[in-house]
Amino acid sequence: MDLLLDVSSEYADVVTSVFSSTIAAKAWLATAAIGLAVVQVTTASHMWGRLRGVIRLSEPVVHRIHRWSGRLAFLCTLPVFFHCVFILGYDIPGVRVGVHAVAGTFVYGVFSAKVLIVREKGYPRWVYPAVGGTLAGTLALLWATSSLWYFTNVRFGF
Amino acid sequence: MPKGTRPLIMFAGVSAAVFALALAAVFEPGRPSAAGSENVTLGDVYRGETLFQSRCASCHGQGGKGGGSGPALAGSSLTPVQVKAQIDAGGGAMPAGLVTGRDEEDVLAFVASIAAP
Repeated sequence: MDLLLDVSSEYADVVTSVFSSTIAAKAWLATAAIGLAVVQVTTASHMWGRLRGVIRLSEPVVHRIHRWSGRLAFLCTLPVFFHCVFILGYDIPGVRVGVHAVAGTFVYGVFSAKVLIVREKGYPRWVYPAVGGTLAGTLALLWATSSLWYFTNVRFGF
Repeated sequence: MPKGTRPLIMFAGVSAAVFALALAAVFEPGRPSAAGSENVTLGDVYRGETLFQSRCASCHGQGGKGGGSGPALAGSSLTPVQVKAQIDAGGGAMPAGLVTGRDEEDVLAFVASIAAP
């Protein structure tokens, strides 16, 4: 039991060395992830022939940006995942938290399926934007029910 | 195995794993244990309510009814000793010492007024 308490307090100590609280840390990390998700959607649109008049970059560069923004977004979500799942766990006192919990349950499932589909190739064309859009939408829902709520109802600061 | 099955299995498996982990919440600190015979001074319940709304309600909800990231305190049966232990030591998402001194006594008075089931 002491070990479990230590993990929780160690996590809080590390996070609060940068942010004012663990909740503020999650709000900002999730915001970074959603910002990178916007980059993902934008570069994916470019790969599918859209926004080429807006983003004047070569195809290899766009592919590289897409891959790295995805990796960074995934990394940003890991501390958030750890705190939400391992420390807070399930507790649904209201609609906002309920929606957040359900979306949070599925987001890594959608992410895993998306990565697998991209790597396997050979699916109908519509599958790729559909699964990518589902992942971006799930992330946006998670952000709206956590970070956006925090910034508008608690405080906008680190 | 038909194409498309593997991503579906992956989706279901990962989602189920996340759900199970969240149910277990293995590093959740849980409620603070009672601190024995430690004396707790209860302050001004009205001032405590104002302090609670400004410092605690973002996580514990308006009136301590929940809705944020912290547990609901209203009707929780937590004793002032337990609440004081949590405020002093922190735990989970809650940093230690959010309120101290007279402010803490006032907040304890308010929480005591709403914690009774």
